[in-house]
Amino acid sequence: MILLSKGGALGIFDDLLEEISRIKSEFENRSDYRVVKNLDKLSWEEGSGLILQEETAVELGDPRLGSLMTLLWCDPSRVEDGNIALVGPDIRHASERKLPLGMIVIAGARFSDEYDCYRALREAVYGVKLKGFMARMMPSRNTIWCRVSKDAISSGFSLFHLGGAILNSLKGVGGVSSAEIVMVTAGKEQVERIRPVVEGARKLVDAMIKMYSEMNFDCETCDYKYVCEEVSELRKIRERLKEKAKDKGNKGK
Amino acid sequence: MIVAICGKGGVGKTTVAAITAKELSEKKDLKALVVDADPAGGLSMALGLMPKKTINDVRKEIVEEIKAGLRDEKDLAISLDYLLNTAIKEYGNLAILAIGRPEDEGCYCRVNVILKDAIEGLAENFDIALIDAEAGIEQVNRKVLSAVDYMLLITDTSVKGLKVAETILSVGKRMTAMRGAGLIINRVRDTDIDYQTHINTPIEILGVIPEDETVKRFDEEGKSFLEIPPCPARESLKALLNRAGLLGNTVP
Ligand SMILES: Nc1ncnc2c1ncn2[C@@H]1O[C@H](COP(=O)(O)OP(=O)(O)OP(=O)(O)O)[C@@H](O)[C@H]1O
Ligand SMILES: [Mg+2]
Repeated sequence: MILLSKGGALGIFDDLLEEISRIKSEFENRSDYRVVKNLDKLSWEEGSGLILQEETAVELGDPRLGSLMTLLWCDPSRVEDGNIALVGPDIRHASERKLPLGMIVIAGARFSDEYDCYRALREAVYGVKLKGFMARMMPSRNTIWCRVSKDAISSGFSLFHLGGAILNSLKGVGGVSSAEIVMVTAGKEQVERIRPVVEGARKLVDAMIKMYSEMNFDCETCDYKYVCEEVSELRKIRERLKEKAKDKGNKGK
Repeated sequence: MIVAICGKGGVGKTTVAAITAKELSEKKDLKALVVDADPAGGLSMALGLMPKKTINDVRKEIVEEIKAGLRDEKDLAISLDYLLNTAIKEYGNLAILAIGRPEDEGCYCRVNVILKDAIEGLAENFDIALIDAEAGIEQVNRKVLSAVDYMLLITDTSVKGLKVAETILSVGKRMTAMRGAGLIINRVRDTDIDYQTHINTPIEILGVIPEDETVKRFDEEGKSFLEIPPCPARESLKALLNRAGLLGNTVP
């Protein structure tokens, strides 16, 4: 089974990397493309909390304007480590209060298990909490929606701070040795350019999760143990599935 | 702090919630979450702020996502958070959520549990969350309000209203995390009576709200309570909320 190949590099997204390279070279030829590398100079105070409309300076990723995000991983050598690329206006220079947002995050990771890798990387990316910045994501629809507060903008917050925080957070994960990010605010058309990659990655992740979710019947490692304990129906369903899996195993022998 | 407004049907819960929301909207340094937990959506109407979708619509959306293959539990929680935000209607420093009418379509207990977590998580971002609960004890009983810190019990001058408030409180003490409760006597015609000594109840009486023509008119004409001018009912409510520390000044 390729998805479960033990040890070292994980290659489920390898076919997408070529398309990403093509997209990146297209973007690089645009006049509104910029890339920043000095991660250490890009730190921003942590903070969380809800940002209401009246405090918002710029909103990014309204689905009507364009909103796409993906997180994928590959062999560390295939990552342009530390690159934070932006195609389109940064928030401070935005003429509009709303911008589309496209985002590809790539981590160079070595894990023994794809699902563990997915969970660890997701935790790192979704766990990024920055003062004056709020993000909501819908993984199944590949969308990301963010607000940046007026205070944050007047203190100099830029999308490179966001990119830097995501990369730093990823690099804090054991097993991750390199990371890069490409952000797109140039317009719906440019955001849509990354759709094939985003949707391709989603299909792979969904398939992987499906496999794992159908193999794991161990209540001790299940996050929903506490729900199951409250709702006996859920417990029964789980037991039934477990039996089914056992049966299948026996028939196979 | 999460404050639930509870009481018998028709005693003025929504009116109190709407005027409280009005007072909160004038406290610009506060962020307030206003939850219309009555399936009929009376509070959203009283405020003239109808969210584009209800929590129940969000529940349906997420069930669709599950049917379409969303399996990972963390992804589910992240998605719910996203969708919950799409159900918020904002008005200055207020954020309004409406529960909507739940329709049973199979057992999605798991969704309800995560949804409740998500709403409670959302509430933590606000200085105060105000819930206009359904009449009676159902929501208290079903643990919908388990995270409530303070119960604002409303009664009219009827004995029945008071008894229902007392029942809600005793159930609330068992079924919620509440740390305090207070009683408001609404639609009082004779404000000269000293209700503190007149009424025998174990609940702390916060004060009375007079029967008020302006309130009646706003209700009858369907005007937004966010526009209500100073009037006896509003003044009394503001004073007693301040005394109870419910307008963000002090924690009761
Ligand atoms: N202080 C007041 N003065 C005059 N009328 C009032 C006052 N308080 C409430 N009312 C009127 O009483 C009626 C019931 O009030 P409201 O809808 O607030 O009650 P409720 O407890 O929310 O009812 P329900 O249980 O149906 O949700 C409304 O017509 C409202 O205008
Ligand atoms: Mg009501």
